[in-house]
This record gives sequence, C-alpha cells and structure tokens, in this order.
Amino acid sequence: MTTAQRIPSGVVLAALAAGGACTMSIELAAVRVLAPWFGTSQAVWTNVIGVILVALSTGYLIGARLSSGPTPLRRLGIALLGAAFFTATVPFQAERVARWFLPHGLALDEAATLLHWGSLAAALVMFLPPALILGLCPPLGAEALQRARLASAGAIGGVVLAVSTLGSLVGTFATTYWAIPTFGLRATFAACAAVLAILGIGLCWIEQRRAIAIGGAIGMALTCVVESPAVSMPSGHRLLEARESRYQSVRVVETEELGAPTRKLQVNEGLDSFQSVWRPEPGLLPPGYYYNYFAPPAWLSPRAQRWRVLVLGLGAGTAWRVLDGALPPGCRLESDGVEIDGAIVQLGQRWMDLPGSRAELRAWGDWDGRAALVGLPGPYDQIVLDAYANQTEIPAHMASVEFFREVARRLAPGGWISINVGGFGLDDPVVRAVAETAAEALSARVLAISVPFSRNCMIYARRGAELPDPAEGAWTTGEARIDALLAPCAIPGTYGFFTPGGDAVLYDDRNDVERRQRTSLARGKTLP
Amino acid sequence: MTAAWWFATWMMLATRSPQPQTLGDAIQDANAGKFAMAWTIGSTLASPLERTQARVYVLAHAGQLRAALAETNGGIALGLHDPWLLERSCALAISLREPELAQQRIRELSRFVERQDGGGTWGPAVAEHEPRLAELVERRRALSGASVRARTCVAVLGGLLLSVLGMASRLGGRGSRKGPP
Repeated sequence: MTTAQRIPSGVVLAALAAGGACTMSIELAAVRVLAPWFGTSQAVWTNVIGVILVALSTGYLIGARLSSGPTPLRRLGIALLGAAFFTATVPFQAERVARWFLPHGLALDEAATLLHWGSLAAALVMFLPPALILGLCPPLGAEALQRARLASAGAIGGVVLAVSTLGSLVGTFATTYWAIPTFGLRATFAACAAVLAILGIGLCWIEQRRAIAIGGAIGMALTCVVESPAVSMPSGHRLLEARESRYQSVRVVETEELGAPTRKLQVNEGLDSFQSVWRPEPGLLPPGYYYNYFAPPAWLSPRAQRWRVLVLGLGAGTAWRVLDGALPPGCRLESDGVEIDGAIVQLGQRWMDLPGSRAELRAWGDWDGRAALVGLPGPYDQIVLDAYANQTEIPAHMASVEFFREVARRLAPGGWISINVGGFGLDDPVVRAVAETAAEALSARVLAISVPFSRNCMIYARRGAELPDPAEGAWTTGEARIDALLAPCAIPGTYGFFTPGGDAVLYDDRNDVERRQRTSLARGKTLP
Repeated sequence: MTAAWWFATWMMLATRSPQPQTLGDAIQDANAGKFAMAWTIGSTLASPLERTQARVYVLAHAGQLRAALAETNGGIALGLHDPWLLERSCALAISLREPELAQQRIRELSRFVERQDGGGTWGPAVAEHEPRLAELVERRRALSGASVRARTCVAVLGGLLLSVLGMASRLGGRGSRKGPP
C-alpha cells in the first residue's frame, strides 16, 4: 500500500475546514477575550485582525516550507495538536497577559494610550501562536492531497481554499450567533481546541504516531478538567453577575457609595466608567452622576400630567429610575427605552429594578437606537440620548445631522433633546461636534453644560422653543433639589451655547467622531 | 432733570452696594449654593489674589474641578505664590490625577512651610497630601512601565515575525521535495 493510497482525503479536508472555522472563532473571540481590559473599540479590532493576518501569512510560508518534507500529513496532525494546545490556553493566560500591559485601577483617560499598544501586545502574545500554527495547515493539507494524486495542483488548491473558506464562514456565524452567547468565551475556546485536537489525534493515529496521539488525548483531557480563572474584581467591588452578550462582556458589580449599596453595570474594559447605576431609592443620584441632568427639562417646561420620554441607550434603566423619582409632583413618566444589547435589559431587570412589564415603561431590547426610531413615531416631550459603544464611543450614525433631524421629528412642540457626551469641558472636540451637529439639525442654538464632578457634558436642544439661559432667572425651577443641580452650571465658562453653521458638524457621509474621541482622550491628559 | 439723568442715577444706585463686597461674601454665597452670585462677587474683588481665591473656591465647590485648577494655575502663573492657592492646586491636581503638577505644587508649598510658616498652618496640609500623591506617582510609574512593556513586546515580536517571514520566503524557494515520487 503506498502513501498516496493511504491518505484519507475526507479527514484532511475536515481538518482544513476546522482550521478555517477555528481561525475565525479565535479572531472573533479574541476581541472578546481582550474586552474586559482593552474594550472592543475599532483600534482593538484592527490590532486583532492585523495580528491574525500576519500570523496566517507567516504560517502559510512556514507551512509551504514544511510541506516539502516526507510526511506532510503527520506534520498536519502535529500542527493541529499544537494549535489546539495554544487555543486551549488562551482563557488561562488572558488576565495575566492583559494585566502585564494594563495595570489595575487606572482611570479611562489614563489608560487611553495603553488601550492601543496594550491590546496589540496582548494580541501578539496570546493569539499569534495558535493563528500562526493554523496557518501551517492549508499548505500541508494541499501537499498531502496532491501527493495522493487526487487532482492537479490547481484543482487541489481550489478545493483547499474553498473548504477552508467555508469553514471560516461557519466559524464566523457560529461564534457570534451561537457559541459565545450560548456557552461563553471559555467554552468556545475549549470547543475549538477539542475539535482541532480530535482531528490532530486522528491524523497522528493514521500516520502511525500513536505516542503523539495518546499524548494529545491526555493533554486535551487535562485541559478540560482545569477550570480557567475568572476576571478578578477590584477591592471593594463584588461581582453579582457576568455575561457574554452578543455585543460585549457585561457585568453587574456592587460597591458601597455614600453609605448605600450601589450597583453598576459595566461593559468590556470598564475601568472607572459604567453604563448604568442603581441605588436603592429612585430619583436623583449623588453629585457626579450625569443622569441627574436628564431631570431638569420636565421642570423647565410647562407643568403636565404626563412626561413622555424616549431613551436611546436605555442600558439597565438608570435614566428611567432618575426621572421616575425626580419629575414634578403629579407628573407621570411614560417612556420607551431602546437598548441594543438585550442582555443588558435582562441584567437590568434582574439586578437594577428595570421594569419588565409596566405598560407605561416599555423597554426595547436588541434594537439599535437609530433603527428603532422608525417604529417609535412619538411625539415625546423629551428624547434622552445616552448611547455609547464601549466607554467612550458615540456611534457615528447616532451623531449626525440626519440622525438629529429624525430625532427632532419625534419631539412634541417645545420638546427637549438631552444628550450625554463624555468630554473634558465645552471646548472638547467631541462635545463641540455633537453640539454643533444638533444645532445644525434643529436650526436652533443648543446649550451645553459641564456636569459637576464628572468628565461629562450635557447638551440640551429644544424643538420650536427657546432654551433657558443660565445667566438669567429662567435657569431656576423653584424646586430646591433641581435648582441645586442647575446652580453650579450657571457660572460663566461652565455653560455655552452652540449655534448652527459651525465647522465641526457631522453628517452620515462625513463623520470623524471616532477620531475626535481619540483626540478628546489625549487632550484630557493635558492640563487646562 | 432729564430721563437720562434719572436713569444714570438709578444705575449708579443699583450697581453700587452700600459696602464693598469681600472674599468672605463670595465664600458665603458659594457655601449657600449661589454659585453665579459668588462668582460675580469674586470677579469684582480688587485684589488679584482675592479674586483668584474666590474664583477657585467657587469653581471647586461647584464641582468644576478642571476649571478650578485652570484658575489656580492662572493665578500662580501671574506670580501669586499664595500657600492657599498652592495647596488647592495640589489638591485639585491629585483629584484630577496629575501627579507631576501635584508634586511641583507640594515642593513649592514645602519651601513655603520651611521659610515662612514654620510648619504651623500648612505643614499638616502637605503631610495630608503626601500619601495620596505617593499612590498617584506609583500608579503613573506602573502606567509608564506597562507602556514600555507593550511597545517593547510589539517591537520584539514584530521583528521576530518579520525575520521569520523573510527566512521562510527565502528558504521556501530553495526547498526540494523529499516525498515519494
């Protein structure tokens, strides 16, 4: 029996398909592995994709060299086992590697530069080895099939590329829509490692390398029984629940603030920022929380029996909770809340008293804020915009003239838009751009205030009505707790008006909000 | 008497207080949460030092920390080397996680303590800030270390990859098939 006759083409093709699938799984899951420390910004995606591509191209070249040896099939089996080993170890080394490049306890603005370099370095350390070894597989598999004289070199190359790409396709969809949301990251890596190991063991067994096959099987079994470590919490914080949603790593942590338990919903890297906050009593939060500044519009408008609000970026419902406890007496909150990540809504219902079945408060999970506008015609008295990807990124499609025009169409006459923007002061490039964009869309001046004790600004715009001027008497409500919020924002320099016709206006077609956010974080580190 | 004269007289009476307002008034208003009023009073004080002090106090109490720090820096840059301003600048710099500036201010304040104060009033303030500052400096050191590690790692692994790529592409061309015919 010759080698050509013994080559099991089905197993080789299965190995190549699995290699393609696992490459994509590793690539997609890699971003999620890095997310608790570095986030999932475009920079992190770019770094991961870059590392995987350079690893694959290097692997292809090395694989081409190795394929000229006498036993490409055996080498393919060993490569699969090696890739399985490195894939299985990713969850174990993740925190240690990430912490080496991003120490504990940093604030978001401090960590800004490290997020880029650190994520690149961590991606190189963790994902270069498995991706590079997976890159060895296609040339080794092609050579093995070619030696079996199954077809011409061109035909074999075509089949190998097709099978590998189809595997990648399956890996892409299965990872995002099934494996990570259903089983989590660790299980996804374990499943990839198991598939690669089984195929590697099979090929080694066929190639009469029983010792390697048995060693691989034992290694795989050991990896399965060792529990990978969970992400550690800073001191004083208690993890209530963590989940891998379709979009991000989400967790609810509890800490003690001003003598009361305080729960915060964090996504991805978290650092010192959060997406939602819960305190036992509804209503205004302690100073420093920007959510409080969603409350004044109802007080600065004519009294009504109901206040209709649309929240784009509901999170776990903090805006609702603040408004619910801080509206004028006799005024009832009616609201639609849109949140892109359904897992956040579920966590909010479980840990943060987000209403699940109140007719007047409707949470729309798994909806993009802009897409949801189509089904929410309004009219609303206030539209709250608090939509962030990761910690700092306002999605570009929710910061454009076209978007704000759509929002304005859903406002009742005299209705308010209140926009939370992270930024270091009124001259911050992001604050300026969003404010000028809203002003352009509404053809009216908008008001931006610097939120005390925070790095946030609140932008107010109105449809068909004048905004109160903090320099004048209209910037008071007669309600002590609301006036206490407004008073610090009446000092000259802590508020400003932006008018239409600015030079930082953002459109769907021309939108540099991501670059502005990077500039903002870099500027935040320089002193005023 | 014309209407213009009456108007001018009314304006003079309305804008002139019976007694000149002081730094204490600004502080009192700020403590009462009347920040805009406190700012206005502070801005009208004749002494540049008191004006700066009032503005810093008002901004800091209003939670506008970056603006307050800018105000202290502006005052110190004007040559107002006042221990209160130095101490506030240090405290604000620590709050805003700026260890370099906080260190500079604490050095200036320490020099003042040695020369004039004899450690009486401002010595405890310096001592109070030092632990937090040390923590901040340590954190900044960790940050720089992590940055250096990340860049070095990228450079080393990137260089290694490039060399492997170069070697593999050269060797790939010379490889000879050793498999069965």
